[in-house]
Amino acid sequence: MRFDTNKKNTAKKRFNLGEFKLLLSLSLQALETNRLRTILTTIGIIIGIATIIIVLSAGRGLEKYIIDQVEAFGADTIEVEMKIPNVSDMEMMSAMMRGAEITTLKVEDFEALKELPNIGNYYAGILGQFKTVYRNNSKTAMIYATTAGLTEIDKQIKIGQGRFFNEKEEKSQAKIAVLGYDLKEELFGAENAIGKSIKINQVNFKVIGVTEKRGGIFYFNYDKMIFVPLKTAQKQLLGVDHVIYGFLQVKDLSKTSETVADITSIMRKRHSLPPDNPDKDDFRVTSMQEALEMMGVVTFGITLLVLAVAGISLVVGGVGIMNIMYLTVLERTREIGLRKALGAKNKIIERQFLLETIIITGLGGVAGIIFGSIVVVLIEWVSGSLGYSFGLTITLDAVLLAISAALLFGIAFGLYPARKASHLSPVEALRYE
Amino acid sequence: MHKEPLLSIKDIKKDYVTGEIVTHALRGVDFEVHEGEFIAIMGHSGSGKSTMLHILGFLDTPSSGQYFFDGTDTTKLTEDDLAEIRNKKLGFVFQAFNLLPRTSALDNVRMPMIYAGIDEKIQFEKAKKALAAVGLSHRLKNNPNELSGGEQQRVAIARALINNPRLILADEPTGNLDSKSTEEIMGIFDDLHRKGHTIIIVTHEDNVSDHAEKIVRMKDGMVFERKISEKHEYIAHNKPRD
Repeated sequence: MRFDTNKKNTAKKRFNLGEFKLLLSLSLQALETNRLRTILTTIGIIIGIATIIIVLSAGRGLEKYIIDQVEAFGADTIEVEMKIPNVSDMEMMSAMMRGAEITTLKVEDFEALKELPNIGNYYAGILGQFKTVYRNNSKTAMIYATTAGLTEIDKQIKIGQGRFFNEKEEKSQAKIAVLGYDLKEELFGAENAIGKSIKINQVNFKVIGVTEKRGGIFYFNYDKMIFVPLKTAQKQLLGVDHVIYGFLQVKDLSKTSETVADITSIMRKRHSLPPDNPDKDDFRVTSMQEALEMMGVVTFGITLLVLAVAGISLVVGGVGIMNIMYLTVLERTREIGLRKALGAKNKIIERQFLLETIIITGLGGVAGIIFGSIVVVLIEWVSGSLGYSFGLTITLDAVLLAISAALLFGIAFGLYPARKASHLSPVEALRYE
Repeated sequence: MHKEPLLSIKDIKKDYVTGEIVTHALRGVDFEVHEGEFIAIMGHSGSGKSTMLHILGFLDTPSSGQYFFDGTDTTKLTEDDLAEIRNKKLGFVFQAFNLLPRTSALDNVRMPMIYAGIDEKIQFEKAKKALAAVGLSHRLKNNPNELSGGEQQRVAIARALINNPRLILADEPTGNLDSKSTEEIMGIFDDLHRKGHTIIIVTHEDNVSDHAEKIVRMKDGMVFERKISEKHEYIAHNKPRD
């Protein structure tokens, strides 16, 4: 395209506008006369493009979901959890399924670890399930027995009404409880719960707070839990004195690995374990930083997988578009011959087919993006109403990728046979069967 | 005749190569057509008569030889130039009608004007007139599959005439028609001839070639007989249409 301003070119431009009008009317007429084929071709493109959109946003969503889940535990924490010594992870899993318990991990361990210079706060916990009653409403609820540090470290637990319990209350074994949002709704409905008394396993607890709604992460649904001070729950409900895990907050993340080593050696001393035999450990130390790095590898793998799947759907969609366009044009070889016999120049024929292709792939591309987006929104809506959020997101690059793929394949495989046919002599094209 | 011929070909040859086999469709044909003539090219299938018509109509190019059309040596013209000649100076009528399917009679007739870049309003006016002239005023909106064979061929003739061509080329125009439609279509050709149009018609049927003034017989890619039609005068005078 030239943009010179002299008269010759102005005249040329006007001619081009006329030519464009001519091409547009030819293309629209051809698309209109072959309405069924136009629709079928467009459907093929819609499906190809929608697939690309859905696959890409599903991949993005999955990646984000996994990172969010890890980060929910706090990126600056180190987890210490109980472990059965001398066995592999698989064996431990099956032992725990059969009811094996390790009772050597104590909240006192965490109190001792808190003295490390690089450790700020901690929380430790154990879970149990009990019948919970308020007046005539009863529910079997998950009891999260934990320490006051929980809300400081896990920032995603937010208190909507009232407050969380403090260290003093925890130490004094106060019989107080904080309700998860959903559980409060189930037991109290619209009634205010603060200050009311509930029975957990027939023990009276006073409600001092209600959390904000958070949604489930992994197998945990915080909204259906009751948070109870650790000591109280251990004595009054569970009849144990151990915890199953705890999180320690790291002050200086750059020293995480040294801190992990310090924790390990202190734990071994406290549990009277040999200083250099990890097999005998009855605990496991994992820094979330490590976990995130590991997750980084996982999400990179997922990204590659998504790209591969998106690539495949691109190729599948593209090959579909290619086949349709190729056959469409091939089938119209006779028509091209006739148009040439009536005086159409090669360029006009090429451009007519190009414009038809652009109209079809453009329409199909836009419809595919809309259709794909509707499916994505629908998946989100259904999963959201089931209490999960995959966080599927439609990103601009996915849309651009899909559109350019459609246009590229459409043009390449529509134009090639059109060009080939337009260069046949009219008689050859007319003879084509 | 002193006037320059409308077209003249000299020693035209056409070879088709299929693998290693070379078919000589035309083995050196000389031919002249003057303005206003009505010529029938006859011959059996394989005689080269259709190849001849395709070359005369610039639908195909000769392997060698010279072709002057309307005073121009066409062997040196570009594809675009030839497209323009086909568009503005020639009109084709085919055996299989070759109308665009699923396209109305009116739009089919408009097609050559669209490629000629004629104003859309004029396109519709002229196309309607042309269809009226072949007796199809009531069929403007019909698609080809809603028309009889004779009607389809009349649409094709209207289309061939729409840009006022110098030459009308018809390839077995009645080959797909019954005898009644054949008579109707040939009546239209007679009419056109009487109005001064130049017509070349390819056929193997005597009752069709009888309408022409001159008959050219071909065999094995060569012209072996040229004669004046005996019945032309009789037909022309005894079957007036207007």
